[in-house]
Amino acid sequence: MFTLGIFLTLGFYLAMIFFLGDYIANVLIWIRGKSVDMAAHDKMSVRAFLQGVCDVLSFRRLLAVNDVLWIGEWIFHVSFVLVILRHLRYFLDPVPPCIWSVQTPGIIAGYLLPLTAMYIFVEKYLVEKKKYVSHYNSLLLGIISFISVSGLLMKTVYHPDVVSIKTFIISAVTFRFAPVPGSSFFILHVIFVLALLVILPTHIFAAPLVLLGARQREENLNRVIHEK
Amino acid sequence: MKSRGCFTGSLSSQQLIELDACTQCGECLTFCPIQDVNSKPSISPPEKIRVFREFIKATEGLKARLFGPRDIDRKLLEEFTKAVFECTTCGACGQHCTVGIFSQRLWPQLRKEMVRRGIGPIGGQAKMPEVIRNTGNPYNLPAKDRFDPWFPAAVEVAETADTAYYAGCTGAYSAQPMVKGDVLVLKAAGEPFTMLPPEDEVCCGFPLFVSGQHDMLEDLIKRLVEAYRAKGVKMLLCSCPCCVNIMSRDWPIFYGQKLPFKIRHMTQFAAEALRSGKLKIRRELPERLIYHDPCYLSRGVGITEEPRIILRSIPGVQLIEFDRYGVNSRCCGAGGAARKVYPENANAIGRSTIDEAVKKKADRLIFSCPACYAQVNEGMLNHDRQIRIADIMELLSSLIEQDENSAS
Ligand code: SF4
Ligand code: SF4
Repeated sequence: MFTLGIFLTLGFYLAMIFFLGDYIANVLIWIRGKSVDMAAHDKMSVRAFLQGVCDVLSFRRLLAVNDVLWIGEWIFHVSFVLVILRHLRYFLDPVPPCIWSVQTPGIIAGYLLPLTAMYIFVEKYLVEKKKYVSHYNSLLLGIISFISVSGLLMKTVYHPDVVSIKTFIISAVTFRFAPVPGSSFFILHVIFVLALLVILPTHIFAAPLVLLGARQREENLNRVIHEK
Repeated sequence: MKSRGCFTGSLSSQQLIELDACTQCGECLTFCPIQDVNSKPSISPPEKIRVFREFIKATEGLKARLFGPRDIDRKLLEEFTKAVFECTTCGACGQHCTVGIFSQRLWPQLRKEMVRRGIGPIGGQAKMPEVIRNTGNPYNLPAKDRFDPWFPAAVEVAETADTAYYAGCTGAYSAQPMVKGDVLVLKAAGEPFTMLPPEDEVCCGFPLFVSGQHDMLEDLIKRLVEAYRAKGVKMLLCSCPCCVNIMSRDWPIFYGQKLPFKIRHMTQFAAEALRSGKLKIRRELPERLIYHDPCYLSRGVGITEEPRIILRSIPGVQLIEFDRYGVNSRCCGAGGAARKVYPENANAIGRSTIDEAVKKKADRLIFSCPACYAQVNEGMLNHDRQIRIADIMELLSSLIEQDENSAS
């Protein structure tokens, strides 16, 4: 288990390097873009910023075009964030009170995550029979479903030793090696999380920025040719 | 054959972030007019974005930085180019995009990148710069025919004035009832206006901009701006949405500074003239009118109210709406300089506009764009459904000038 612990820890470092490296490479590309946007008149106002934040949090633009899918996507994404916040208790020592306070919502979110993943799948592929199917999104949905189901099984049926899980994770984040807990569900869970880290979509950081810009653009549209 | 090199040179930071922001959700396909008539997912917005992102990754992504850029197959580049040039650049995908990508601006920039690489544009578009250089317009028609065939003898053009009128190539050569209506409305409102001589009123640059061929733009735009400046112009009026779009959004950038005059669409002028009483409608029109919002006027520069103010002020008119109207309007098929390259798409899209107007029992379909006017007119040929069409200025001028013009 110690050797496997070393492998998984190294895998974690590699996945993090890949994840961060990819984002840094993307940000470098963004920065290199032309500074003068061809879409003139775009300056961010406080009002547009606040409305943009609401758009990010509520997925308003998705709601406007597909309310049936919106409810599934919104619960899915909120659950995803809550589950991540809940898992921070394994990465932090001592655990801050705010992380303790999301434990119960995090558990509920853990149940909702696979259910909403299933809902999205059924709605998109079987009910709406979308003409455009992103295989990458299907893969993401599959991986997240597996991670959440394996997590739920550990929570409800198989109960691995949480103390050794915490020891293993804290060791990894403090650049030490520790034996991996002897639960095949946990090992698979970690492997899939690492895979998710590597293929995490670029939109998780870029989409909120674009949503903010879109609000500003909407506000400015009336000024393009109506200026005094 | 392989192609190499950075793909990001034509794009702004905002646009590069937009490419990364696409979630590939596919919701925009529902609103894409090209998907309505040619449902190849390969030419859909998310697929174009995905492929272009692959190009960037292969040349500038993490792996490319660590191990060197990858070659991209020429065939893939050509397929992408076709896809990005088949689009009408109507921007409906961006208007309904779940993350708010400004696609009406993004697609022309992707086209510019493919032109830079020598793969675009497609078909006759490639000849456009030369044609514009020789004749001043993209239709290869003589400058002497720009105004003569339609300009009413009774309308006077001042040598200099605060207001200038720009007819635009599409209006002057293919939608003459519109441009004639424009100058009649100006006359009726008592607005002194000036114009450039036909050989100096060259293309505004829009067809070059939208087809990604930017080399001549600075020169064309500087020529036009300087010519109007020399006449002391304070407001430049035009009825073509594509012209007013590039004038208000891009002319300042290519000119290098703020323009010395304001840009206004003719419907803005007419709505204001009606409000102030300078313009009076003298006839009733007991008709059901349906108004089509041009993409570059509504989504492009936010003009949706003024045309409706004009139409609602006509006594007897019952104004009805398309299912999608205002900033959410549906393209008529004419956009993106793709009309002549993909005429089947353009006609099929134009016909669905006709069909909807007929289904809604409109007596007349009203435009405020010469390209929409010309496209729907063309779509009517050999089509089983027919409807009377009019440009809004053509209609307005017929209601204020009873003697010379007829409304139909
Ligand atoms: S701009 Fe219009 S035609 Fe082009 S992809 Fe978007 S919706 Fe389709
Ligand atoms: S709606 Fe926007 S985010 Fe979704 S696929 Fe279309 S362009 Fe991408």
